Amino acid sequence: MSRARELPSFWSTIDELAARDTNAGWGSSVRRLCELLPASWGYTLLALHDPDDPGPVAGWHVPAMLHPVPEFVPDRERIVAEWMAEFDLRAEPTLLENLRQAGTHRVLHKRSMMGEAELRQTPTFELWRRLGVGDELIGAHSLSPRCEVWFCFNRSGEDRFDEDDAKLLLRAIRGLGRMCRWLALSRGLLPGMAPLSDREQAALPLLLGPQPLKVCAGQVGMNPPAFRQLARSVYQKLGVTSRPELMALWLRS
Amino acid sequence: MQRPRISSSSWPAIAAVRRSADEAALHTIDEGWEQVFRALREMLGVQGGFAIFILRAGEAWLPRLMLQHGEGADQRERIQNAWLEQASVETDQLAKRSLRGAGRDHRAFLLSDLAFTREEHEGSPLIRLLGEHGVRDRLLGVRVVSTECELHLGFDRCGDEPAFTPKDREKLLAALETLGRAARWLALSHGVLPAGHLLTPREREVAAHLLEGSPEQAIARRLGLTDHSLHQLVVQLYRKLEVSSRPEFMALWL
Repeated sequence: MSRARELPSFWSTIDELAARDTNAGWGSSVRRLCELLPASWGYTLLALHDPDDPGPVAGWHVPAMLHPVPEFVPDRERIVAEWMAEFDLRAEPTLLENLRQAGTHRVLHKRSMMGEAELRQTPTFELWRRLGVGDELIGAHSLSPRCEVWFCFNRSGEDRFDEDDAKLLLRAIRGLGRMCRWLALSRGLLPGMAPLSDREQAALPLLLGPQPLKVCAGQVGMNPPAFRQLARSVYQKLGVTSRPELMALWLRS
Repeated sequence: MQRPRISSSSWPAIAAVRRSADEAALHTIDEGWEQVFRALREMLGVQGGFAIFILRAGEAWLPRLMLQHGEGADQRERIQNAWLEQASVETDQLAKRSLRGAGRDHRAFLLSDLAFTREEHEGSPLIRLLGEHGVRDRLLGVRVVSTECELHLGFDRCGDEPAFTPKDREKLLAALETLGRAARWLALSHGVLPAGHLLTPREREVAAHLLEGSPEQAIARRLGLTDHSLHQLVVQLYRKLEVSSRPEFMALWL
């Protein structure tokens, strides 16, 4: 059966989730895509571009790396952090070229863009080796030329992704605009915003709900003035001045 | 019912319906739905169509609001009015069959899926009315919005246009599935949900401004109303939507 046939129900499931369940929606979407492709595991990067920062990755930063199943590779975060510290984009021409296309939805499959010998010379290959990855397929959903959500999928061993997998992933992530926007909003990671702290992220689902602030405060065991202060810091970081303006951010496209 | 496979060449059109639904912003929901309708019309190769919200009323399901899109709106309106005069959802065999699984299953029908025999076909008030108005064929799709509310979408082919095929039905069914949040937002924006109290154009306008996050005073200035008049409209709007505060009102959509 065509895998594309599964996409409408995949998108439908995403639509059923309330804004306060964005994390759950994102987690289930990554797991579902892992089944559809199929892939051994998947994770998501939120990437932001700062035009004033020449940086090691042409001004791109990855302020959030999200794993739906945190323990899928033991010690992964340390391995990736160590690798990132040595990373040099100049040794990754395909990635550099891909970043130049920021602003459009696209897929990146390094194996189909270069020969095995060339691939082995790249820093990415070294990371794959350390993590036991055989192949990687990345779908970039562009929220703007300065903000992207990258859905990354890996296969272990000798399994390889092909052109059909790339097409399927691109089609799937194109229909995830609202969820990607909500994912970035829920962390304060759209351009012009400041990243939310863990406490602020925890308060956000309550602020997007119907209850008055006093009731929200009670739900997280805080006194109302302290919760109001926390809400104000959320508004400030997301560049709004009131709760209706905050909620309106989630209703725009 | 035999279910033909959707050919791979149809998926870009279905994905285009999804994208237009996914990109709709709430304060401009009517424009967003124009895009959705356009994508659906392009997918099916038709000039126009209609959307009707149907609500559960006890054991029955009753039409609550009809929206037109594309060409031929007057003609479809005439057919619908004539049909309502002659038949009803409860008595028309075709309408009854189209409601099997209502509130639970998304579904799509060719006329031949609803009229099983030649007699049923010839005896159907709807099919006769379609013929009288020069409509050759109709395709119907149903998107469940909640257990109490459905969005029925109809598309017509007229004159010497070809009849719809089972593949068209399958494409429409797949596209309907991608409309989840957009269908809910459309229902809410008209007051069809949560309680079936339809909003006036003025109330819809106020709702759109409220959903942009503006304070009431700013909205009053923009609409050339006094603060008091605007507040009265807001109170009326909240009453229809059965909410009592701005967070409750906005959370309906989230």
